[in-house]
Amino acid sequence: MDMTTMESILAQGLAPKECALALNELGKRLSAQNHTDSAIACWEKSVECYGKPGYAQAQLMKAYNQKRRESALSGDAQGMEHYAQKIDSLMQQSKDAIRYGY
Amino acid sequence: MSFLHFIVNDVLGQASILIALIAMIGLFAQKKSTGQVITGTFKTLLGFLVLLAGANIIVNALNFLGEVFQKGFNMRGVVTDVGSIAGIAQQTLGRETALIMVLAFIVNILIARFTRYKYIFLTGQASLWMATVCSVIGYMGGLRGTELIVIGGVIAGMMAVCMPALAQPIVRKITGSDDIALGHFCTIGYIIQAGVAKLTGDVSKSTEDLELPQSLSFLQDTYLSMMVVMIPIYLIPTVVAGPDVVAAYSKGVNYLVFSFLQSVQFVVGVYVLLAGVRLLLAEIVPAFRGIALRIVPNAVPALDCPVLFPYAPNAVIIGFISTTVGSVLGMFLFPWVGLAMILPGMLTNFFAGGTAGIFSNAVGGRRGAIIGGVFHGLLITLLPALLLPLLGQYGFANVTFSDSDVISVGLVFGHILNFFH
Repeated sequence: MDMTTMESILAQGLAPKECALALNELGKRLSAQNHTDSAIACWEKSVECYGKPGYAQAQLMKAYNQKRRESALSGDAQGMEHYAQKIDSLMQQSKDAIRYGY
Repeated sequence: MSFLHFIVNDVLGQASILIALIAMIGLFAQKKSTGQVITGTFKTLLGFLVLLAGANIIVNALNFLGEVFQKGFNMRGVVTDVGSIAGIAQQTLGRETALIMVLAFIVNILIARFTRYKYIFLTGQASLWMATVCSVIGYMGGLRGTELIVIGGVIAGMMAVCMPALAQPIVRKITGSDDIALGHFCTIGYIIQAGVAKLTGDVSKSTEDLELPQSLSFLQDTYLSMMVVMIPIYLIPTVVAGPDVVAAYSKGVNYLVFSFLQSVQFVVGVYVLLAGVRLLLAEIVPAFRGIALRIVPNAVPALDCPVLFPYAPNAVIIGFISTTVGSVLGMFLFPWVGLAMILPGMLTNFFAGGTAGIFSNAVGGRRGAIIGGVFHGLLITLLPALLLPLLGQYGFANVTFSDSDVISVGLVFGHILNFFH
């Protein structure tokens, strides 16, 4: 099975939990190669597939915070606000998933 | 002079207008467009007034509860809900609370900028609750005006740094890094629960190894679980008190039906109040965040408790349930030693109990989460009972604060002021 790209994983029609696991692994590999934006895209897709708070949300929180910090250090106010709002949305999603199901 | 009097007392003296102006300053500081400034300012004003509307609903529902409890059981029944008492306090101390919150933001930024404690507290509603307890306890302790605002602001600002710092060793263990901190004023409860969990638990057996049954999942819907708890809390004393007591309130409606609807009205009030809080803070928090993170670019954001939920979602549920068990035990236990009957606050049990579950799982596994949770429930029932005498007139609204750090500040601050009074 081709698990090297997000598209190839999604094309396999895996069950939500398995799809999320595969996307999480791909995101982890991309993050290790410093392809942060691609890793973020994988984990965001993983959350869409399977919403139970877990690995993807935790990694996204770290990644968004890293991006926010980079924006703050470079004086990019818009970038800072963009990733701060991403963090807010992620926390709301985690809260809603636990309260109302996923 | 009369124009100045008009501006200072009639305009700025209105908490809703003052807080809207604070939001406007924040929006200007972020260089937002004219349209965004106007929209944001009016949304903040609206949010504050919605908060007050929610508080009014809650007060009416609680007045009824207080009456049937007193007549039925000859004791006080007090609900723990920090949002409710904060909303009620805004009716008279809104201006002071708003200014304490602003000063607390400034103190937080200064500490983060000039010390090694780089935490910036970004949980808006928690900041509001802390500012409220400082204003209520300070006011009841005899402080007024500038003195109340300065002392309250410094205390709240220091707590905004100290509590994330206190939690950070365990947050680091949970998240594996120091990139984020916890901004939730229930940290003292979390640390105590973690201590109990460490002594009684087994860290090798995690809550996340369990497969939890779905049958109790509806309780995780916090408004639904609040209703599940509030309905018997209203109906049981109503049955004991009898229809004659209720007749004065019910305008001919059957006494049990009226009581049932009052219990739901309480939940409605909380829903409305929190909707107002979200609207109110929607502009203020981004403004503060933008300013703070520009002044302290290497800041560690202290975020609301859901930031930890992904690390141990089962621990949230186990912590919630075991804290609820502890709070129900405490409800029956503490009146035996002369304290008021403290009725469980389901929002606190979910968020604080759930987060405490994550803390205790990190150091004591699932056994620690369960035992620690029951202990946590007892603690968050005892602390509000101890605070009640210091609340004065605010304590007679049949609702009290629920977050352990907020209550602890109230207790320490209140007793210090009483000592000097």
